[in-house]
Amino acid sequence: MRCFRFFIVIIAAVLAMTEISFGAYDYIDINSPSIRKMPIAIPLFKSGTGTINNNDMIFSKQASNMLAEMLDFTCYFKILDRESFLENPLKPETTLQNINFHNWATVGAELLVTGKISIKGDLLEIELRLFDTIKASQLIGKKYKADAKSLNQVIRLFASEIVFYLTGNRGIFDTRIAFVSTGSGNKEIYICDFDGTNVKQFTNNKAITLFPAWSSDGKWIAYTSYLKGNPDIYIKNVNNNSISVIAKKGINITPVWVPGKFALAATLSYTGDQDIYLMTGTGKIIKKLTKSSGSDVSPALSTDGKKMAFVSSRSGTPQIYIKDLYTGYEKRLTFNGNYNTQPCWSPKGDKIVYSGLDGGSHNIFIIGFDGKNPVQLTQDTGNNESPSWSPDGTLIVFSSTREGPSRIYVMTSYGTDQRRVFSISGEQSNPKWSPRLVNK
Amino acid sequence: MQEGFQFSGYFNGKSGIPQKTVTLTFVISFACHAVLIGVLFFLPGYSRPMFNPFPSAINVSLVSLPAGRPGPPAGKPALKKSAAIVEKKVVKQVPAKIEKPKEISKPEIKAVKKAQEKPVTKVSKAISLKPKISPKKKVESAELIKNAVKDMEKKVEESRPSSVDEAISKIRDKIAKAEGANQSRGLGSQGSAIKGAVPGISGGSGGSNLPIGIFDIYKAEIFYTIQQNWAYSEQIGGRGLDELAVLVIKIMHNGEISDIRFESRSKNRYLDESAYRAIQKSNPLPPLPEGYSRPYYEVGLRFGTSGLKRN
Repeated sequence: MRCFRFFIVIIAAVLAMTEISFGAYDYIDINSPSIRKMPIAIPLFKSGTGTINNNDMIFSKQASNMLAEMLDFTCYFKILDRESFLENPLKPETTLQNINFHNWATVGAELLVTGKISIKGDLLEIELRLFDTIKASQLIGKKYKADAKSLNQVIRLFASEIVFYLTGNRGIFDTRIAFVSTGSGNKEIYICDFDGTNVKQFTNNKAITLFPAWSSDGKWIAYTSYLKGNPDIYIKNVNNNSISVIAKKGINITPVWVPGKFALAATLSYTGDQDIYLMTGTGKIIKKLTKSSGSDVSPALSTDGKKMAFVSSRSGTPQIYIKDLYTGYEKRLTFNGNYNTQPCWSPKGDKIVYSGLDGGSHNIFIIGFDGKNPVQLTQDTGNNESPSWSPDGTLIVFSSTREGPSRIYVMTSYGTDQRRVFSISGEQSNPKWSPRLVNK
Repeated sequence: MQEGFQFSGYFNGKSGIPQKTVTLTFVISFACHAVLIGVLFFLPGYSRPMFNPFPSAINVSLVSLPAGRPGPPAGKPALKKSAAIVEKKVVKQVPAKIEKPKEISKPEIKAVKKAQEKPVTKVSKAISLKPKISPKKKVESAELIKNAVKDMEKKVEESRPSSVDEAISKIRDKIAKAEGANQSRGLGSQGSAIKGAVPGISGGSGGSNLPIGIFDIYKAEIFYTIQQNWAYSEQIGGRGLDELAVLVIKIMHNGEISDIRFESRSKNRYLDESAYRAIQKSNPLPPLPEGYSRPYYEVGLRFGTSGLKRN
């Protein structure tokens, strides 16, 4: 009986415990956050020598402004105005123990970057830290030593660390944009850094030069040029300027690189019909990819190389089609509008951005690879064409005539934050975003 | 009697089976059951069934829109315009520069701090940690629900069909009836009307001895406060509609959040951290309702991005 009573007591205790655990707490569903950029504070960096002199102040301001501009370009962050900071700008605190996080949280910062710069001759030593002001914790701490001329590169590295921490990818700081500009009097290919700085002329053909295309390793740019009076495909090395030519009879246009290979897909018309061909980097034909009666142009390969989007007039008007390169199956992607061209695959391969004629002007559209959820990203802003994805899939670069002359613009993949990247002489068009160029 | 005798006979050896064997059998059986119950109820991530003697609906959908809107023809998906176009944002003509909110000089800011008011910026809503010494704004529960209804009205203002107006007026009637019923009864199903007014509130009163309606109002306050403080950058985090971060918090009687822990994380670190940050920024919450008998109130918060909205 004692055992029996003991057993009953144990059962009752267990039931009592389960009684407590039943509905121990309720749940509240919260599913409508406010969409906004992450507020980040980047005060002027501190002098590592402990003294404040002109040189220190110049580098401090330059470095902190550079970082702010780079992070602002990503559209992830809202860079807070230094005028609103509560900290003494002449006595910035940079380490976890000394920072008053409450002050930073009060002005609305969720992230804080502090820096300390020491300059000894031509040598630059810079400590950079990223803090979470709400948790009052350090997230990243890096120390760099470099030539003073490499300040830009150092700042890019740290910006990349910040973005990597937040998103898991390195961002666009190691990328460039190739584009066409008429600044020299002819359409030539130019290259600039991701934020429009450091613009350099890449071709000097003194002839119409179009359709730049980056190889997946970023070492080559293929383009079409009328250098010899015929639209031929040129392949030029970015670093040593070596060139090879694909000059078949008829037109050789809209080249695009096969991911991971020294091979191209391009439109050729040497058989009389404009079709898309797969060929080696030296111009040897591997395979004919399209066979319709209409014109097939503007191939765009997915990053895994398994699918190709292209423009075809087989239905009567230029529309975008998708072809599975393994099965050969083709299907039409676009049905809205009568003129849809310039497709570009997203890096993830789930979406295609393209240019479509809508109400008399060209605009940028985005659509799922399965043809679902088409969304218009630009409207009532002149002609918007030639969209190209950033390699991390967060931004789209395109050309726009909203100010009159054609310029290069960038926006988020949701169509927000549309802004001009830079302004140089002539008109700019045909932008193409490079892959990440780790060893430039 | 015979059955009872036979049952007790197992323990005193009269059944013929050794007592040790019987005891050992029961102990092993009990241990197995205890482990099973423990695994079922204490394993992280397991969503415990709510043992609620007064089950009520988890009413998320507030407004019923008319059915049968004409869709796109087969094979031709309807074209949507991005939010950027709908909002008609102005294009910046120069490379992006650092934005300048309203200028506030430092002496002014310090004076404002002393007066314990939040600094206001032109562009962003300042996210300030509520200073512990600042006076708390007492929010009437009915006013809170009215505010929630007003917010929802704003959302559908532009293209609101008449059926939506009818739906909102029906909900207002329900709330009015619920408040009236609350005065006379204090228990029962009227809580469901209040719960229906604010999405995301699940049933139960957390085991307190308070009327269900009052605790649902408190949960609505928690929901409203934390959602207001939850900021999310879709550019960073993306729009992962299936992702869910579940955090559990303990709220003391004075509203202070004494513990925050993850019950389950989403695969999106940014979502997890933004949810954690939202809770920290909401500390302290409104005090627990008077009469709540337990030392603290523990509640689970499920953060998801299915209802993303723009500022």
